[in-house]
Amino acid sequence: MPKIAVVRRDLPPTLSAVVRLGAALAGIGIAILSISVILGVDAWTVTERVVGTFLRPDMIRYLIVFLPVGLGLAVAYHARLWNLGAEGQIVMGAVAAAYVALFTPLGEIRVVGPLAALLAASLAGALWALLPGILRAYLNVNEAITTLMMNYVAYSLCNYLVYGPWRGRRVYGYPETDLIPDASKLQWVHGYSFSPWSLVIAIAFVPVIYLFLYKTRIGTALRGYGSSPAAVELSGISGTRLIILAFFVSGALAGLVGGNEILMYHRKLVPGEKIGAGMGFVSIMVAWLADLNPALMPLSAYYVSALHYLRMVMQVGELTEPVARFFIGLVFMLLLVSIFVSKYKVVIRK
Amino acid sequence: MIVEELFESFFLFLLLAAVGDIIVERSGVLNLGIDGFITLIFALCYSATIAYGPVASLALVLVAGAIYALLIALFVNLLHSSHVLTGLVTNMVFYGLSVLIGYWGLDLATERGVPRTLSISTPLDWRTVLALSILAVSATWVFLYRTRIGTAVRACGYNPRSADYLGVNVWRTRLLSLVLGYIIIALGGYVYVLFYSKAWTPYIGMGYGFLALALAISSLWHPLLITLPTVIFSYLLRSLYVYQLEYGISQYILSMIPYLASIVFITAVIASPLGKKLPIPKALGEIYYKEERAA
Repeated sequence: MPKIAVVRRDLPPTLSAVVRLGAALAGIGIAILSISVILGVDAWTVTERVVGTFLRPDMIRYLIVFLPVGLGLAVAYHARLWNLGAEGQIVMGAVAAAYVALFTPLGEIRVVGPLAALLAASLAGALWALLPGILRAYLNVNEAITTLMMNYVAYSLCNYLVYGPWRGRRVYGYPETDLIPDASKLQWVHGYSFSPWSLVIAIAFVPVIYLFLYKTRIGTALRGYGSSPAAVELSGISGTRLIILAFFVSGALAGLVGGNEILMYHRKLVPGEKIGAGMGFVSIMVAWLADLNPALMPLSAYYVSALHYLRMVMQVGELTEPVARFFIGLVFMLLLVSIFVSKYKVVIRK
Repeated sequence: MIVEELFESFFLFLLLAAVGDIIVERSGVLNLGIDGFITLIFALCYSATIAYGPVASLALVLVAGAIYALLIALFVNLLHSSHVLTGLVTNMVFYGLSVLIGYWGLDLATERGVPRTLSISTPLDWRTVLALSILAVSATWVFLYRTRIGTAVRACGYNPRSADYLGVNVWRTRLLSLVLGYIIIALGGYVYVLFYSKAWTPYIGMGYGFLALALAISSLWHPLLITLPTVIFSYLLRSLYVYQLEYGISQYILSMIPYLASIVFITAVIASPLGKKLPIPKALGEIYYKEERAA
């Protein structure tokens, strides 16, 4: 009987990139196919629209979400800390930003208002991530499950506010707050729903996180912590502090994005499920698609944002959202296969 | 009566899901995919019952459990994928698929002119529930702690490399416990749809899988210890709306209680002396790479 063995190998970086790219292209193929089969739109129309979404600047609105969150998560994942709570951290950032913009005098001041709101947002996100971080660092409680639970808590907290005490006076019974003051809004590029400043901030984090992870002592220790915590401890760096730092950074970036969603896109606090919209979960795959490398993150965020934007283009009623989930999931399954191909090979021995 | 309140179909569902999860995680597979599966199985069970009746639906649901287990095993065993990513990705795919399947059932009900709510003539009474849950818990305990295969399963979760040295086939053992675990979880989903909800709405069941996961952790993956937290949580979850009606507490505050409570519960158990004593699946989430044995 032939024996099947899976053997580790390292593809050269270029070939590995080709494999990853192949998976990405095949993913687009799956997207086209599943949309045209499940929703019954003919394949050529779908192809046209799919290519269109990759070229239209509208999807930058999603890039602004996925890029910073993916960068932050990469910091935690390099240390093999499973922060799966980006969704909740985004929501809490949104809550904090809405509070500053709506209920403090700062909201009425230009420039200072948005800056204060974004600062509060990243702080809120960081604190939300810190609770599971502390439990992991001091009591060794599995962080994957606690961060997941914190997502649901954040949803409920946000919903409580918009259905209850924060519900606006001019919203005719909708579960949302009043609009934030004009001074706090981040202005859109004409004709699109994103702000140039948010884009600049999002892109600015690419070199910052890159330099932090690869050129500083703490960053190197963080990367080392993933493969060998003991070695890092022996080099004189506290593992506990590293864990707390990793959670703080990833939470702060997710929170910042949540705040930006309020100032730039929604302009009011809406129910938690609408703010997060599953983007916190998708960001996890953005980080892994780029192999946790900050320099490649813009590419992977671009790809995922375009796929994410696709569902806005395919307006086909109540099935749009589940179908989008389904095909984005399939694309990520391909990604897992492509990781396998570039890291292992199958050997059949007689 | 209080027993009737505690032992009803929702409790049985949660217990079966948690027990199935224990079997899976005892073999070292971190089982985040359970949430997508529960969402899927609710939709599948509902639609299949409308289309083919309750008996065929049961068969279909169990087969679906086995197939889902095979899919997870393909990724975590053969493709050496990270358990967390595998779980998240399968969740995403099956959340989406569940809605498509559920709408198929709803449309079919409208087409045939049958009511959208399932009508089951014999509800589960508390004695049946109690008997079934004792059976499930004790059978799982016997399987894990008193059989050869069960010992192998626990060994794979504790230290797969040593288990391999002793002649245990880690891949095969993990596959076996995945299939067994998911069949039990599927059974739980069947109980939920036919005896508890009797209806389907989009994304119903989302989050219950993670709750079952939390229950498994808080009992330190021990099938006998799981009964108590499950009784408490199922009672808590069902009685939340009573507090809303009686004391006027916002439902949004109430709906965060189960999740906060499970975090507190897990932390308390892990920090307690019990948490340091009981052997837990240490290698949970570890990708087992066979060819590295010699290193």
